[in-house]
Amino acid sequence: MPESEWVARAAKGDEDAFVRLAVAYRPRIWATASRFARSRPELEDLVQDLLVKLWRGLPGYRGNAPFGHWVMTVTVRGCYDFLRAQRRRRERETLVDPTERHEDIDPENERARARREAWETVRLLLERLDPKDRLVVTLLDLEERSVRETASLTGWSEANVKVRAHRARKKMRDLHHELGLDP
Amino acid sequence: MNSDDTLPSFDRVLADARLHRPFSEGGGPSDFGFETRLRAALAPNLPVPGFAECFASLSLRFSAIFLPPVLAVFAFLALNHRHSLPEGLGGLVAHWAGLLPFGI
Repeated sequence: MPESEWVARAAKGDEDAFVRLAVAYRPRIWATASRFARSRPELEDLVQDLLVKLWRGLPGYRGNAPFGHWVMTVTVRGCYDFLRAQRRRRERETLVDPTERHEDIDPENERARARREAWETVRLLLERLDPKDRLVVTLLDLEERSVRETASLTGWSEANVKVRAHRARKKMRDLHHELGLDP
Repeated sequence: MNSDDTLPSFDRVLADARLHRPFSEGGGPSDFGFETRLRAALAPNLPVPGFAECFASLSLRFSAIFLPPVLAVFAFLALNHRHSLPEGLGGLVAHWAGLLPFGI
């Protein structure tokens, strides 16, 4: 059965059809949401919330854009809502999730360790940004999406995305320097 | 670190961070309990409770919160009507019956 048929069934309230779609799209949602959550339980909750948003929004899906694009649009906007809601609480918390640090299954892997440390550094810098700036940098520089795609997913203009990205990168560079993270 | 050492420091960190997949240990999201949790979250909301259910659920809190103002109102009324308070059960009934909007 083609995906459009599953989508049509899910939009009419067929829970089984939606679960099938959720299983198919969950890895992509997980990959994007993982850039915003700070722990695995938080990530699982975020992904679950995003799936519920999709379920509730499905009756409004008109099929103007491919279903995968619509899924990622809801995901990105849901992540933005999550960032805004969590920002104030996060300012009082530690910046590195200790569970992830302990979950390193291969401590001998120098390259993987360097990447993880780089991610922790970038995450530390991202935490200092406005939620909109953080979303733009994440989509453009970490997920390697184009300006056009980022604009489409966020609903902001391409000019707005470019300006935000430029300003956010500059701020991150300055912070990187101020925190003494330059070698 | 990234093999491209010609990049400025920040860009190199960004390039390395791009290659990291957070929470990807054990192959990413776990399937254990996923469908059960999802179906529970998708379940339609419970019907809105009626007045009786709301009142029953709030009665203890209601009494605790409103006890001081109720006592204050009682004291205020008692002080204002201390010279005209009825005596005995018959007087009490006659007194309050007079306040009804219809005659008895």
